[in-house]
Amino acid sequence: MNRWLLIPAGCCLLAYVALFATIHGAASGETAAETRRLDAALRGRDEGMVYAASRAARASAAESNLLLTTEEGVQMLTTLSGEYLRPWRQWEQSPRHLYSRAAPRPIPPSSAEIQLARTEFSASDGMLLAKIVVRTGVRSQSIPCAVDRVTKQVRLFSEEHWLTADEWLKTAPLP
Amino acid sequence: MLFYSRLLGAKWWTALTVAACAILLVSNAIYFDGGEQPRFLLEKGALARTPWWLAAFYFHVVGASVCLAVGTPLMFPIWTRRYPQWHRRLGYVYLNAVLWMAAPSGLALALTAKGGLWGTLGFALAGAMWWKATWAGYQAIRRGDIPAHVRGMVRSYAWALSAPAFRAIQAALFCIGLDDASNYVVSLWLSIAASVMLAESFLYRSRGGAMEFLTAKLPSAGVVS
Repeated sequence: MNRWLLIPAGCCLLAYVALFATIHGAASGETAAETRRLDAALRGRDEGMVYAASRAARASAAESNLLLTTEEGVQMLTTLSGEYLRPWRQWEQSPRHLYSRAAPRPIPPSSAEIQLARTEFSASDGMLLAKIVVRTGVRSQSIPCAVDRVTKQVRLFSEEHWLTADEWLKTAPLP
Repeated sequence: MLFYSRLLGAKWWTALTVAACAILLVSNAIYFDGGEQPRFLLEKGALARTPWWLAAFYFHVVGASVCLAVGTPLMFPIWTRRYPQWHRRLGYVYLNAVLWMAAPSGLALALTAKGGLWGTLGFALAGAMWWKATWAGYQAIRRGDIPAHVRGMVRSYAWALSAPAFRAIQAALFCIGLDDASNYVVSLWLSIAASVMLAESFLYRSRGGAMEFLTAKLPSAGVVS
């Protein structure tokens, strides 16, 4: 093997290592940002939320005005369902052309709707009960969910278990 | 183009091949424009965020694009006769792009190819045969064996053409309604078959002396001793 092959071989190896390191660095930053973004979306950006939760737990839930309102609860579930459908939205917006290895298949329309329970057990329960209806194409899926007005934690009933928001997002189907 | 010599409609086939390569090169820009994530990467899901995979993917796209861009003129005997020095220079670019970029990264990507075992086998076979044919072509020219060099490089470039062939077949099969998963595997193996046929049919036709273009002026002027 002569130098016209040896030198490029070494350069290619270095280039691969450099590219790997760059992507690795970028991926680490992206993961951290993603986690922060999701946390902010689910728990609210208010710094006083943790304080509010502990205070609300101590005080009577019915009397506290720091409880999550119904509107805030719906907003939280809307954000969550938007996150659930994000791969589909990305798929819709992604550029593609016929001359690609990506399959030229059509994209079914997708949507999510929040349906609130009309009655609550009692005001002191501090739970907001709702259902997220996810539609992709002709398929429709209903996910019962409960939002703790005090801690602002969401639980979703999927695959025969009550899942946390993070666990549920991991079950999101890919296009 | 060398492949189509003594073939009916050679000029049309040549034009079609060059156009397919050009479209593919333009299409590959989608991975570098910094816009929304392309669908091929979205299809890969979490894998597309894995550093080793993504680095191999970009290596493959760049390497294969270089192969198609510089390999195409090398397949024109008239150009080779007229510019033997350029044949040598571009030949080295092609060689390095295949041996150290496109083929090894293709082999790595084959491990996670769509289409399960058949997908992995198909891409691994294509990657390994591409590397082998290219290396054989290089070894042949190093020892001055021009017919063996032509054989090796014709096979090598035919493997490179399996990429545009794949996309053309996939689009055609989509139009006739084949489902996505089957389409991918069938297109892969049909493109492999097309590459083998393209190279071997030319070599079969040329066994009786279709390499006469070589006798006009040996391209050995461009070979590094």
